[in-house]
Amino acid sequence: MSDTLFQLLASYGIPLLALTTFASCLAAPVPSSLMLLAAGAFVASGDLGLSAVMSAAFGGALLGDQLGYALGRRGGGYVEGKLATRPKRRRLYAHARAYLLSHGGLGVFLSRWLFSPLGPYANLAAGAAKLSWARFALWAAAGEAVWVALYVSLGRIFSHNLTMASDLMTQALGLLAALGASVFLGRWLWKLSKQRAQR
Amino acid sequence: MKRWFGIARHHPLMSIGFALALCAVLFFAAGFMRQAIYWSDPAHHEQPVEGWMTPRYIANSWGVDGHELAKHLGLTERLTERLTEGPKERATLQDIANMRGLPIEAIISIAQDYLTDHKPAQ
Repeated sequence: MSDTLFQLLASYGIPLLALTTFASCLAAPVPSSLMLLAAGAFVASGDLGLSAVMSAAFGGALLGDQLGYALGRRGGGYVEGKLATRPKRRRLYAHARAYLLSHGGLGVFLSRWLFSPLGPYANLAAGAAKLSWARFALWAAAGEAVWVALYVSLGRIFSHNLTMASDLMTQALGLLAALGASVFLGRWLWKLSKQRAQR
Repeated sequence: MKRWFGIARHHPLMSIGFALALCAVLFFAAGFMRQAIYWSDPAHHEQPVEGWMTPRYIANSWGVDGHELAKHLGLTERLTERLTEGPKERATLQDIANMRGLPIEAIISIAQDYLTDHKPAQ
């Protein structure tokens, strides 16, 4: 699969890169981190320009994040209305929202680059929880900058063997996302269990 | 332990999600180890030439002259003009094969032979 991806990047270059980072922020199943890695390797070989790669990737990601947040904001109202009639779910939702409001900024930041597969859901959740737009935009932009710089640099460093870099990175990304989800869910369950014990 | 069962009963969805996430951790950790072992083997260090690679990518990867390689593969100015799809400055081996009307295997073997003759001594 990655071969096809590299061929596509060679053929369509910068516009494809921007489109990919945009789509990935909306939970489209596109391997955007891999694409950044490949773009980094093509920068090292001289097939793509560094500033064009960075600005296209960063621009696409910023736009995607904003759209995801806006969608979440609209969807959040709908979900809230639906939950109004069901007390248990409503409590859970309120809990989730409170959690997001207190940890949201950092969550948005880390879900850009460290737990990047979770990013699109963080966008929707941040919008739905009505995390303030300025706070979201700032953390998201900072995180995307780290993400783009990190993966393009990795691509440049491992440009002599892109196949190896992408094989290793696919697994590492999955591992980080799984760890992130485990820690998040585990902490949440732990809190709930403490609350129950107190009751 | 009892407390955990109680939690699992009260929040079944979240508990299943947590268990799945832990399984995914094991899955990817094993995958990462497998890849790391595969790539640490010196026999796998030399990356075989593939259709998606551009002459410049190969040159960067193998330490040869990209311009010379492109010429050797028959990527001339005139041929580049015939490239209808994609930017002309980034033809891959697959693009070159298409332009020349040759199977990709033929181009790959020409490139591979070039590398055998020209790669710098280790």
